[in-house]
Amino acid sequence: MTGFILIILVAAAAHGIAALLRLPVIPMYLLGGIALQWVGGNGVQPENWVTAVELGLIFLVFFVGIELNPKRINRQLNAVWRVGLFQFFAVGLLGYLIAYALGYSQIEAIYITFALSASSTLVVVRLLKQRQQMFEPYARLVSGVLLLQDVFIIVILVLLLRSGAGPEAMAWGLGATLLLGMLAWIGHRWLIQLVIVRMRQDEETLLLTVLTTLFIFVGLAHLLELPLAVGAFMGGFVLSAFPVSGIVRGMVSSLSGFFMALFFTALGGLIVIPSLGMLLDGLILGVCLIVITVPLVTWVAERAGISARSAIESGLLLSQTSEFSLILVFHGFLLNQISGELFSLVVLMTAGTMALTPFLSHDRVAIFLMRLHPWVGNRWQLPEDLKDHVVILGYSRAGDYMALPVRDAGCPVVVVDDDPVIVRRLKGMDIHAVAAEASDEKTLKRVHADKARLVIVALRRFSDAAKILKFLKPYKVKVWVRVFDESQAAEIERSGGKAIMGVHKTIERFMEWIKKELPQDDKAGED
Amino acid sequence: MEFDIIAQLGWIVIAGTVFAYLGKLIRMPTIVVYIFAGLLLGPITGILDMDYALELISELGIALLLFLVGLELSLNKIRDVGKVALAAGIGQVVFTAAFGFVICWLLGFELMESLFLATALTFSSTVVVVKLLDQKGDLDSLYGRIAVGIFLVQDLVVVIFLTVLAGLARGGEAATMGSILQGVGMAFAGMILLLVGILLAARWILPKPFSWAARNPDLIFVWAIAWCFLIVLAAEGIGLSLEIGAFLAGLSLAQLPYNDDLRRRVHPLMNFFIAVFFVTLGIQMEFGEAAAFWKEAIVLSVFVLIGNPLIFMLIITRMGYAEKTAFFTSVTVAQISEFSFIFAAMGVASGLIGSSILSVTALVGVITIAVSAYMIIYNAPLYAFCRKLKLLKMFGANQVDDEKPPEKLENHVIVIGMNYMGRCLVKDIHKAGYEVLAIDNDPGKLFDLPGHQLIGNFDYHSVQEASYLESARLVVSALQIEDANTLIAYRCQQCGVPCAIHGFDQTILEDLLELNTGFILTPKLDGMVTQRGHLKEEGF
Repeated sequence: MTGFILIILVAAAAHGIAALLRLPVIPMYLLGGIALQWVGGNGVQPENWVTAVELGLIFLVFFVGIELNPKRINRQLNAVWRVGLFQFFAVGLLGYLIAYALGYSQIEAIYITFALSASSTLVVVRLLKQRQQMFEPYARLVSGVLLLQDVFIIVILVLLLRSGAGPEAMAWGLGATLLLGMLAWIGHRWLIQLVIVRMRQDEETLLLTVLTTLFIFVGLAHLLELPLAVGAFMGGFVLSAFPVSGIVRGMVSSLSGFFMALFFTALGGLIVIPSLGMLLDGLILGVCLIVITVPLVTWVAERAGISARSAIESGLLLSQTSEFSLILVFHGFLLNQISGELFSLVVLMTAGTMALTPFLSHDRVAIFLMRLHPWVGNRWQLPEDLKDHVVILGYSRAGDYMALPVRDAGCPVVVVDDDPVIVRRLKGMDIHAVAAEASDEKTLKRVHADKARLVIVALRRFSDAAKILKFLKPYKVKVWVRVFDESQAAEIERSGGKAIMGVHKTIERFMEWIKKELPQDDKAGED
Repeated sequence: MEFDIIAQLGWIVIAGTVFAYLGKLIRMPTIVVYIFAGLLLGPITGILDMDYALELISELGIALLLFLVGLELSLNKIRDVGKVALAAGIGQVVFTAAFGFVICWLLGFELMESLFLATALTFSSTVVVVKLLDQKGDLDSLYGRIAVGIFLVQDLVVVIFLTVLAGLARGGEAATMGSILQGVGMAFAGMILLLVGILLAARWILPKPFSWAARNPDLIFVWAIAWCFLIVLAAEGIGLSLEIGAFLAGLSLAQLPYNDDLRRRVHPLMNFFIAVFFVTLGIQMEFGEAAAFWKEAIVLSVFVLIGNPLIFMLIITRMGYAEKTAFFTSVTVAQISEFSFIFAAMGVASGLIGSSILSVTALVGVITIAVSAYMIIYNAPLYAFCRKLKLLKMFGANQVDDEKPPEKLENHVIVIGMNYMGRCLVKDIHKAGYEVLAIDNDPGKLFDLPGHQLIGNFDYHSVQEASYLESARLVVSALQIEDANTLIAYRCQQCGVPCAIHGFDQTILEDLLELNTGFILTPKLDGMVTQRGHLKEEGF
């Protein structure tokens, strides 16, 4: 028990450090495991590391499966297919070429290829949830791409592990995976709804049912001679449909937190430190992954109808290797198809790229990359004598709602947005539009904001609105700013702007509704 | 990849689930069905055998269970029942051991065998009882607290017994009275040391870091688990049981304001591990020659099932507690413990008794755990039945209940998610005269709000229960989380409670309308309408 407790204690410390430094927790768990192995490795028996990894792996893949509901991506199926396929194979191909050039053997290069191909569902979904952005179009695109890649990598895992036994064994493995997939689909669509939704169970029985689903699929995978992770993923997929996923989410999140800590920390404990040369290879591969993924995804996503900003954000979010990369190399390591050093290299590369994801996917990076977009270079064609016009800074989803009535009233409208794809669309709608940083003074001068009749600000960052108000204050231009709470509203009013806030209107409507639908005689709260 | 541990867990979970579904048909308590599932997998079919990994998982389950008990009970609540727990715990050990010894001797067992059997009959199962009390939601009731106190006293007695036994088993010079007394003294000193350490930590060390971690639900959960196992490790290091360590770890966190949320988060994990524990308990049963001793086993089982509660009734009613409290507490001790098996097994291993005693203990264990589980789950009808037959009159106990039933929220409005809109809603709803309950993960966001507050994630079934969802008048979600909002709408639809949900994006409106959401909060849309109104005023 001591060994196990040590792993949990280190995981707790790693989680604390991750929270302190605002880093994703997975790489910190891995580093914690490495540290434990160095400092107090004797406290944990080798079989404890492996048992913890094996147990953790099954549960982890199961939880990844639960996260991925295909219904969520229905609206963006086309873009998901294009981006998912292209990223998976293009990044993989690049990885293969680099690995080959770096002198790795055929089988090692193939492992590196597929380790680089997929992105991390755990990191990305967690990040999107933390930022409350799961409903954003790019988040739906990214979720779909992750689901697709996870399915690809599951198939690749089966094929790769059977590659030594010849094409017949690989074909059998593929068939068995399909069969298991079909069973999972049947469970997902019909059976589990019947058992969990119709039979309204208590918490304990519900938990047992969830775990039984996992172990039935793991058992089937074992019978079909497939990797157990394949069964665990399919088991998770069975539970991923609404409302089942919602009903089980609470209890599963506790188990997931526990097993995630166990798995990644123990995995860190299995690492052997690679040579300096190999570490350099890892660095090259990691940098190439990030440098290539972002433009690749942006290019394909834009062609699939996604705005430039969303496309870039998707690319940034997808530029890391996946937990499935770890599973892939863990199996390869157990089967002696790759060395312990290469296994460790992929683990470290995964830790590194995962750690970078929150920084890379930060607003500021996306804004910076927008400036490098080739369409931004297109020179603005604005009338020189612009005045008494309306300037809209930031064309959010409410943009049409603001711009069209003004245009239809015959008043010139100038839209400034950092997204060149949106700007291109607006130009087609006979609206003056420029792709630029809206809070930049130069931009404001060039769109003659100082001579405008009205400036409407709908930018993501509140600090931008303050900058704009400061610039326009001497010109007495009317400025309206979209805000989300009273403190922001007060600041805008103080700076001479007009705050536009929907919350109070909503609450007013709600209170009218509640008083009408649920009349209350008791006025206890008033005293 | 190694399949053994996963296959073992798979068998345990699947058998446990099948038996749980079957058990529901005859209202069998889950712990009994788990033990039967274990009997099927172990002694009957021989599919599974106990190994290190299963043992480890079982121990984790026990630790988490006792950790939860500690989290549920604050120091004040424990202090209230300290006296009765000490008196009843020690009194019962003495009486049961004495009567048990006499019965065993009368049944024809030899002196040493009678001694071992009587001792084995003395211990009641903390894990069984706590699990059942947790299932009933009675851990925090007066009788639940007394029972937990008694079991902790018994756990300490177990440590002493095991220390003495270990001394006896070593034999020779090592078995001197001095060395045994030294072991016992060490156990007491360790207990005091750990208790003082825990109290200091609870007062001076834990509040700040845990308050910081509380903003991140995953972090506080992992820290709480780590704290639990750290104290377990410390307890084992100084010769105490893991139950005592885990309980004290929970107790130290019970003083923090987010202990309820922690409890809800640890609960599913405990449920999983403890199910494994009970199934493995069944797997480990060694019945051997039990068939030859069935009559003796039945006599001893009846003694445990009836005699133990009688002894308790006598002690607890003498201390002034009401008849109902005394009865409910007394039925909790009508079984023997997993320690009894360990104790008997140690006796066999040391050559002091024959293996038949282990078989008798196993049989008595299965019978008493199964029957007492029913007695605890159905304690209220059993009490009514005994009163009807006037069986309790002889105790002359106080008839007035010791505690009032807990207050329940009814016709209230639940508001989930304390962002700006959520906080405004709580204030306005309260001002309009409705009883309001605010729920959020982050204790900081609940600060300064009128009405009731609950820290937790509404995804958890236990948070839904704690918010009295089914008796609510309305549920409002201000959250900006798609999955959470659709689940809230779904839950409300199931319970027939109207709801108002934040429709923060047009992509989720369709789902919300399908789920019969009564009102959709649309601040973004309202913002646009407001802005459009201003544009009209400007002449556009």
